[in-house]
Amino acid sequence: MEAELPGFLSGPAKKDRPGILPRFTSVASDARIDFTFFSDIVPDRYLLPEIMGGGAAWFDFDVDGWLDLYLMNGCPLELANAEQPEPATSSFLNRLFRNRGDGRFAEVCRAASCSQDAVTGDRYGQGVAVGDYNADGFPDLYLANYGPNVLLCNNGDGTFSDVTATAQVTDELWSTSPLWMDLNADGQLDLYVVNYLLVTRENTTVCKYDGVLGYCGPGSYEAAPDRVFISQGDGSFVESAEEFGLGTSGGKGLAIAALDFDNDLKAEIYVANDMMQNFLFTRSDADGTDPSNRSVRYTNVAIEAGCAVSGSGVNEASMGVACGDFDGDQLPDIFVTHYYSHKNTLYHNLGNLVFHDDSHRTRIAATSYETLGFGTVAFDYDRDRATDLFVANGHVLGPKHSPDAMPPQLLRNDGKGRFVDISEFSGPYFQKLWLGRGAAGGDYDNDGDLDLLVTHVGQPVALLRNDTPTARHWIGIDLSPPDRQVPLGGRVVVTAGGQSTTLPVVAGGSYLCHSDRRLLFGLGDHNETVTVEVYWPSGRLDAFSDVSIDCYWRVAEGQSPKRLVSSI
Amino acid sequence: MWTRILRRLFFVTALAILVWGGYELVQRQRGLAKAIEFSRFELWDKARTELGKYLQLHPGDTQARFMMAELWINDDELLSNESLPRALSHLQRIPDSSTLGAKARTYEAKLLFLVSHQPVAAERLLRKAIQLEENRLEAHLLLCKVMEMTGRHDYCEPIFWKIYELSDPADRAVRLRDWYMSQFFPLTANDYLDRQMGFTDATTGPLPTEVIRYVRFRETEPDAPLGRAALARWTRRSGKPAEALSLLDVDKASPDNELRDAFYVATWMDCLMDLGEYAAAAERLQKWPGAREGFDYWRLKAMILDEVDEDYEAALEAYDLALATWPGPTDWRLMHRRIGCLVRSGKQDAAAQSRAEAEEVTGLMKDEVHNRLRYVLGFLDNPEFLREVGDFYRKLGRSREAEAWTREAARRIANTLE
Repeated sequence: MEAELPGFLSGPAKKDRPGILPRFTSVASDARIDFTFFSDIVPDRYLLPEIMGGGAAWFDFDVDGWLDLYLMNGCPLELANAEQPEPATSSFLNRLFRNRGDGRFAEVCRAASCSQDAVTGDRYGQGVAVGDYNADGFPDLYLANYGPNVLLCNNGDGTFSDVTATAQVTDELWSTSPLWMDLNADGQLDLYVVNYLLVTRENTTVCKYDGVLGYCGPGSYEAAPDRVFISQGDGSFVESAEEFGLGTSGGKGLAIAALDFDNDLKAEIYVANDMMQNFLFTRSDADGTDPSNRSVRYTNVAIEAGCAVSGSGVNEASMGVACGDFDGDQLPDIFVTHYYSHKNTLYHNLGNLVFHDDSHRTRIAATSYETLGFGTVAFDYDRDRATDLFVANGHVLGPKHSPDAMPPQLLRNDGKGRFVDISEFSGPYFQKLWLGRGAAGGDYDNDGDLDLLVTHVGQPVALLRNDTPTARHWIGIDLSPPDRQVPLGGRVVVTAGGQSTTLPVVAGGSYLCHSDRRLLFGLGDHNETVTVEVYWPSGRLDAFSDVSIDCYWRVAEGQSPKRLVSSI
Repeated sequence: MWTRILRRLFFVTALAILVWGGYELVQRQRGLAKAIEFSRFELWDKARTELGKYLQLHPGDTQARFMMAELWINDDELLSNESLPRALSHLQRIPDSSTLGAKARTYEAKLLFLVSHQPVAAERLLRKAIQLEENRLEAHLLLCKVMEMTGRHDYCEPIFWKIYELSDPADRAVRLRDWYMSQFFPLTANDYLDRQMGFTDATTGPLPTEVIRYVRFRETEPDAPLGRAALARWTRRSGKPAEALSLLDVDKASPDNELRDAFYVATWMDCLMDLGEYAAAAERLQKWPGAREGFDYWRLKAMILDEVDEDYEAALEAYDLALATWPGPTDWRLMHRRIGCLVRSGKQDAAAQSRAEAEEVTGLMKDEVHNRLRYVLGFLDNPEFLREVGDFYRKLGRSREAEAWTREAARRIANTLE
């Protein structure tokens, strides 16, 4: 039974594409995910990390076909420079929740040794990236901290080991969003670590807004340079940002996404910087040379591409990023969340690495002036073949300022690339005020629609199960079998009823979070088999016809697709 | 005998009346002189009494009318609601055709703006004054202030150059400095007037002065679109276009009032564009009131051509016209829109060049540049400093200001040599 959206969608949008009333059920307690990020907010201290929140990752750590959940945690910030650290308590540990496959999770972190060493209190959790860096079939975790970062190697037996020192991937700057990708095209996963600001307890300043004290923003601090760790193939890494042209200074980064924007089967890297120009790194390979000898170079083309600043040249306070084809032209666009009383921005991809700030026409701007956005997820919540958006919102100045907490948003794409805020119809969670930060999308119940995990400051995480009642169909494609790297740069085209939908393989995105890497296609009312084309980064095209729908398929390069588990 | 007595009595009475009447006539005739005398001692009440007598004899004496208006206004012991209507009534009795017509309209406007806070009425009178006497400097000066204080500082350029032309050469540097402040610090350029008009009262709380001012204008002239448009424009620039749109109250916009006001229509269109209502904005552009020219018109036309019609060539022409009109040369945001348009029309090289130019303009808008300029503008007798200001304008492509400042510098050097 499908419930129609009320008549607020006027004109052709309603006539052509009837909306389905969204339903997101908050099920964290039922699913036994009981976690509140330890922010260590101390009144009148105004130490910026304490209001930035923590990240989350959907990943299948035990390779059982069900998405598990990893949650970053904070710790006492004052201990960062203390000589005598206090003993850790369980409230500072990161958490790993194993998906039991029945809609419930079991906390397994202690057994799995999955948390970083919180005893020293100098690792205040921020973002997390998932990648199988040692290609053993089990996904590993890179934890970005305010304080030294940590690499946790998945031992494949349900436990993790801290291999930071041997891997030489320590970064003591304030890291936010890390990303695993094969930067030098040698078949090994490398790391791009987005860093934010050079903030310490000592240089922390307090700002006044309308005469009221609050946290100072990025304008008050120097940028922390991003780090790039290149895999040496033996489990160790070498920092090589400058060498690869990725040492662009001046970013105050909070988010990152990597995908192929120009259909050349090579992933570009988009870094969202707070009040600074965003970066768009594009890869160039020296002709005729062996890619393993580091002939790869990256160039920041964001300014020329038109996605460094807003369409009117303003450095925007970029917090989170989501990429998706919002206008159905088969090219991935970029959505970036921004500050309160400023618009969020949708950069429409015109092809050939040219973007146009289309925020106003698409009404993205109109939906965002009264919010301060952080994490964001691009997904087709109602399977109508149009990419919608979820945005977690919350202010950063502190509780003495209004507004502080904010409602999150579900923005429905009308199929013509214009968005309508349908939050008020989306469930009780959307009616409350939150200090929203991270947002990660994952189909944890394998039912063919994306569910959402949202982290907050000072409030428990929310697990929003997508219960949108729809008889529309779907197909899911998993391009990363356990023994293969994620084919970043590739894309999948699903054609149903003569209409094609393209989804690129994406790494990163949102804010501090890692989302489900499987590609979920809404098929609308199409109820027959579909054609699937997979464009691999190698240049190979695998095409499959008569693929049945309403299930997940695993596709490895050059092999026939295999049908995966059914839903809960 | 009784008849004779009666005749004599009548004669004596008549004579007395005549003598008294003559005395009164002389006294009233001397009322003007007495009023002037009393006013020297700020005895406003007595001066008004005497001048009133005089005006009974000479109701068409416009000089006396004007003086009476001044006597009412100069009396600090009276509240403005007592004195203002009386002063205005005297000024209104000075016809346009009189030699004092332009002066009276200007004075009326001054009272209506500074005391009654009625910018629309004031502007109407000032334009009338200028029509009556094109070179009335005071009217141009006040008109410029009315425009600036109603959020229309961007519309002042033609008025400023007239002021400059009419000003005594010795005053021109000060005029140029005022113009700089109007161009780059419009919100604080008229602090003294805000204080004089009571908008910077300590009791007004955290609201910015300009908001208090606009709210007041909206209250004093509720039927005029100006106050609403000024407030809406400010609100929109604060990142609240939906609220700005509601302030405009467009449902009640009348073809004879709001829709004839380009400032109102431009603000409306900006809100519509911010909210993604492009079709409505494009429709409004078709009905643009008045002359189809000026910064706002070209800017909005360029944006519609670019974003809605996707007619990039025509959009680029409109962008160029907007950028050539003040405040276009400083509007780096619009320059970036034009750059986007160039990119979309495949002109990457031109976009790169324009990007460099926009970068230069952005650099010229930085705080450190203007902190220095504001410092040097405190020394109008220093020719080197004045040249520095001229150089700034030259870099901005504003040759007229650049030349004016250079002339001022040369004049000071010449004065020193003399």
